[in-house]
Amino acid sequence: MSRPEGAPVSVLIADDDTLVRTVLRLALTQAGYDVTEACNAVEAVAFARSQNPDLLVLDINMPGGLVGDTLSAVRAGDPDLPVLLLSGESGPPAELTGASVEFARKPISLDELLTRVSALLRPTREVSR
Amino acid sequence: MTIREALGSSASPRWIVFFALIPAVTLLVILQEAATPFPSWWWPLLSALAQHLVAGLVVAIGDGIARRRHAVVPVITVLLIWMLAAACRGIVGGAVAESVAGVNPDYVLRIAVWVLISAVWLAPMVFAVAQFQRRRSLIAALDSAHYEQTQEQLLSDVSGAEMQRQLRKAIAESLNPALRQLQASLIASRQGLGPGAVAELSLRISQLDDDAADLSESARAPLAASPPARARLSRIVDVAPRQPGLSAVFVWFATIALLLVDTWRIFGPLAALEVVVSTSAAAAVLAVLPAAVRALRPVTFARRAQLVSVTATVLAIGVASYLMLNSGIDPLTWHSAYLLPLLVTGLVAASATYFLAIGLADANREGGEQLSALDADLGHLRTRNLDLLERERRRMTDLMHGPVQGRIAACVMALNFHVASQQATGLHPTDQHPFDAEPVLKHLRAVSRDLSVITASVSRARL
Repeated sequence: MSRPEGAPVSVLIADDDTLVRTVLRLALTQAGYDVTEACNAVEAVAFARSQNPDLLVLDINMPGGLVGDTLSAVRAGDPDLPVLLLSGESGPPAELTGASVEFARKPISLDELLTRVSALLRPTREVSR
Repeated sequence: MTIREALGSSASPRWIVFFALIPAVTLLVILQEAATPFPSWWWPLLSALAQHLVAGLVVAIGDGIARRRHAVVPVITVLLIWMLAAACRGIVGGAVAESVAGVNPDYVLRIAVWVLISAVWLAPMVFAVAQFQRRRSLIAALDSAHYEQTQEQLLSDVSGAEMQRQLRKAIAESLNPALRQLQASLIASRQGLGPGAVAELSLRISQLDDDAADLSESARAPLAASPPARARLSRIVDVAPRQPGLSAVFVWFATIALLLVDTWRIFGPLAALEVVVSTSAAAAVLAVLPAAVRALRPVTFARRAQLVSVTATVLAIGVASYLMLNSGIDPLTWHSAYLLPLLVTGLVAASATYFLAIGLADANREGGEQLSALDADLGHLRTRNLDLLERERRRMTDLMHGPVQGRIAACVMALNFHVASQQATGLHPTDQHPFDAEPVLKHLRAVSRDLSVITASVSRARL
């Protein structure tokens, strides 16, 4: 699905922690991204399919499903969707590594978040802000 | 341990035996040279020393050559080296007697005697000492395995509880006070929380996050008692006399081989007959006494094996000595002054050698089986304990990483993002937006509740 010319890049944040979602939303909105929030795995899959985001920021430990299943379901609709995995663990599960997937440990800094998001976004979807 | 390993491996105790044989060999040379007209009494001693040194040199050279080709020298090669050394003893002894006393060297007879004695004595002695060394290392290995087994059992009994106790203690003494302090700071200054204060709070909450992460890794297993000490000699030789009849036959044969030819050559057939009768009586005692005790008092035999062996040997020596001195077979009793020390030495050495060779070999076989069983049991126990500890560690890690660390990380992100976004605006601190502490406070209160739940949970849990 193509995005209209000049429209902001959309980011789907999937995290069960309200504070984390709020903080991420504020940071990404200020940076010019169009942000949607999902508070569990089911919502994340549903929003990913219906809104076709340019990037998914996904918490690894989220209720409603295993992260591997969630990622597979999301990728079924958009195999190239870049994903930033967030977790308090020191590293991602081995099965979740791959192209267009990056991992960052919580608590992530604002600079690192914006750098990672920018690096993950595909050049075709990158917009001038 | 195989016979080849005992006799031919680099750990073979043949050199221990070589040095241990010096007194017996000297006594034997004194007997052999009893009728040789040496100009001084110390010539037999010198001859004995020269013979022993030459024999040792032959063994060292032969062993060095053989070891270049074999890591474990074949039994036949070892025996050939020993026979060559025995022949050299005979040649040296004959040469000394001929050159100093001017007598017929009797090379053939001397070589035959030493070859016979070496054939009968060396292999069982080296084998017995090797079994003794094996027994010592086996006892150490068994003690060590028992010690590790006890440790593993202790570990499985208390380590899970210990991990839970440390977790509860750390939550009570470290995390909870820190949390309360943070909440108090946030409440006190929620109206005017500037960027500096926010950054400091963020740092403190980050520290809290690190502490929480370390908790599940901090439990340590308790230490058990001190490791086992080196086995004592009395414990190593504390084995029941096995096959006393067979041992007695070997003792008889070894003692006869040691004494008979030279006794006959020097003191005549009656003295030789007296040696045969005395040795046979001693062997009979060695065979009958342990067998009788085992048949009549099996419990005593099992518990006092060493005492039974020593008693049988002492009694055998007593009987042999009495017959040598009082049997009247050889009317010249002064012969006994030469023969008796060597007979007693032979009986003691042969009894010890065959007792150790047979008894320790059997005990080592059983000990090896015990050790294999213990090792297998220990392996199962270790695997089980590792599984249990890993499960407990994971449970604690899940408890800490899930709700607690997630919320703390959220607080840190909220504080950090606020500072970073305010700095990005370039406004003076007094013009910047004040930090909204309410969501962070709500989260820290939730962390307190989570820690209470975890404390209650680990208190109820059992491995």
